[in-house]
Amino acid sequence: MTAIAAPTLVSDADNEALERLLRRCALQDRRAFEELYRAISPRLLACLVAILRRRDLADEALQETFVRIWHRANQFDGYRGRASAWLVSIARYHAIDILRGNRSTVPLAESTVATLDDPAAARVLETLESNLTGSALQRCLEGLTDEQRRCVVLAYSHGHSHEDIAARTASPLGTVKSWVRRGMQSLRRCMQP
Amino acid sequence: MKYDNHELIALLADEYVLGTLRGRARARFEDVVRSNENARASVRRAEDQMLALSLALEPVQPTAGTWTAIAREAGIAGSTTTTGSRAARSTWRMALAAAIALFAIGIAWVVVDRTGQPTAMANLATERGAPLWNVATFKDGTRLSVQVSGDVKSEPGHSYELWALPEGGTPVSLGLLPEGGKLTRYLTAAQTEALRRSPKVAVSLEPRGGSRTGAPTGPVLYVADLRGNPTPS
Repeated sequence: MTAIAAPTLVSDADNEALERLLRRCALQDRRAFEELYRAISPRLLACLVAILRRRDLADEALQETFVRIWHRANQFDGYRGRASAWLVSIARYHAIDILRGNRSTVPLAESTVATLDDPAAARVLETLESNLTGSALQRCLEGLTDEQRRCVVLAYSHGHSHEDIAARTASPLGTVKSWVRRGMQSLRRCMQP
Repeated sequence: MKYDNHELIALLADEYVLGTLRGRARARFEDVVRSNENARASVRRAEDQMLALSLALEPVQPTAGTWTAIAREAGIAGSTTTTGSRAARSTWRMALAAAIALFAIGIAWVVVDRTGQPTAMANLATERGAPLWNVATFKDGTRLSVQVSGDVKSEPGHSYELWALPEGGTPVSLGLLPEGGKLTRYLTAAQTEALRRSPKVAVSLEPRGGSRTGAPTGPVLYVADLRGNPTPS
């Protein structure tokens, strides 16, 4: 399959194609692995860049992410979820682990979203929300307060901790934790089938 | 903590997927997820719920050399075009491998206890001492690296599979062995635990892609004693 087009979301057909490739990877099919890489690597690299905020770290993390995908492909069938979710999760958790283990190597000053009030941050959020248009998540995000929505998006897409968000919004830590928790609870209820 | 509390599990899964669950709390929840189907389902639900936000990011093209580096790290560099020639080889190699297997020994475990360095290493070799694979485990117990150290014979339609042989338990697959290069594999909790309890490891010859049954099905080619403490106690 070719690279999944941007900015459309990954369709059911795309997911089925990704699943087929992962099952072939589980059988050590190297061509399938390369095809999987061509299809999804730009999406995974976008996640890594957003969280790690440094291209060199993100490139390195992408390599490790795909090595993990190759070695864990035989675990995909046990996941019982969408292939794109499985792939994105491997990339995101690896980036979060890097943030957790090497905090000093990822200066927040380089953040693409330095503050919640920063115009650049607002543009990033607008782009995200624009690309989300029509999705169930977008409809449910609209039901959140502005503070809840921004906290959830910045934490999920950009790897910000509660403390990062509190410091940059000059908000009490407890308040930020509450925004995040209530935002996620609202999303969960809204998206329940 | 009461992990049978569905609302608590859902909250923790939300924060885990979001990335705001950090430090020891994150590690503890990862342990719960490994053993609790309700927690796994909650994480899967949260991952699916938030997925669109990841896919809404503008894609970023990797640099030109990234694929080559991945293929090298995964131990598959330069091998995608060799399948046909392998298939054309005669099957005598398979019989030879089985014959060699009956005599193959040659394992030496060396404990090296430095951060980031292997805590245990095995040199798998033929009876005559010809090296095949170096296998290493690391201090955090979650990684296994395998380096091809000699002339590993490809067997058309077959793969070499590594097994932990825990005392009093059934063999647990540690994954397929490479036929060239080096790979590092992240172990599941079950694999880590099996390796911790294993005085021996084994290599079997399996159908391509590995055993379909979860247990060794082909001839066991090599069995090695594990000495020292390959994973943290």
